[in-house]
Amino acid sequence: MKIDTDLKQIEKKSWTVYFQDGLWDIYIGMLMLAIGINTFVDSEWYSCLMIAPIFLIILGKRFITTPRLGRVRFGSERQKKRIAVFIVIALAVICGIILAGFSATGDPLPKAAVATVFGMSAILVFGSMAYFLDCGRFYIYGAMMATALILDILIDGHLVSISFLVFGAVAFIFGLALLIRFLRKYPKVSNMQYIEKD
Amino acid sequence: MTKANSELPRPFIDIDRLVHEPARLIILSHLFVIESADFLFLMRQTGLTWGNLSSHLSKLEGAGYIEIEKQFKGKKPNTMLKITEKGRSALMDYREKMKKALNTLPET
Repeated sequence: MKIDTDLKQIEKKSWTVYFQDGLWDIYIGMLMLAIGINTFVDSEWYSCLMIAPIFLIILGKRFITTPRLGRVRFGSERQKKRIAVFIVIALAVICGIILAGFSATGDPLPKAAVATVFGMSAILVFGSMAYFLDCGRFYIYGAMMATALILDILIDGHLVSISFLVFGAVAFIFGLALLIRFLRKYPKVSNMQYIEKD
Repeated sequence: MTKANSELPRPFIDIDRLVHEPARLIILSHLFVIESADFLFLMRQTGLTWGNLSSHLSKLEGAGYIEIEKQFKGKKPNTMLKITEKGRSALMDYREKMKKALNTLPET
């Protein structure tokens, strides 16, 4: 048993352990794969693939992660950081909707401007997730998503969409590897007896 | 004061032995930095066995350093553990006393 008396390190470790399950990586991978597939197929059905993975995280945390790691409630500092992430994501979504509105009015913005906005949004969203959630991997996913988005917008042709498929596959496989390692490291504990008050 | 205690240097006598035990120190450290956690979480984070953890938690609860909240998630019982203000003070007090005690040691 290792004694770590650095309280900040203990708090960070308690928080980041919940990212060891690889579910976020699988979700991001599936999201990029869905975007890539949708570019080729251009079907509304495949658009649903972008929404479905969110249920993976919700159900995964509920039935895989929590039964293996237990439950914890963090203090107000962590809650504030989570709220900050939600605000950033909400702002990015609003920007996307505004840009989509411009396209719909038949007066689209220049490709370079659109690419810049989407690229920066991706970097901002994933960067804030990495910073506030103390998960460095999100910086890499932000760079991957921004690169794929910018290439897809600036360069015509389905070949560019392969970047989404490649990055998505990388994230998905990495997430899967993390999940397998997590399941081995934290087997499900059954028949736990909790201490009773006298 | 026991004979063993009287042989210790003065700064170390005042150390809270309940907190000083490594397993209880790490339990209190974890509970200090979070709002509350259940038994399984503490077991995973501290690396203690179920029986060992249970025993230490009983002692900490007996001293009033932690409190146990029994809740129900649907029909399933869920026990959450939380450090009390007394526990927080005890940990901070322990830290200060250890700092003072170690500062009295000669350089080399």
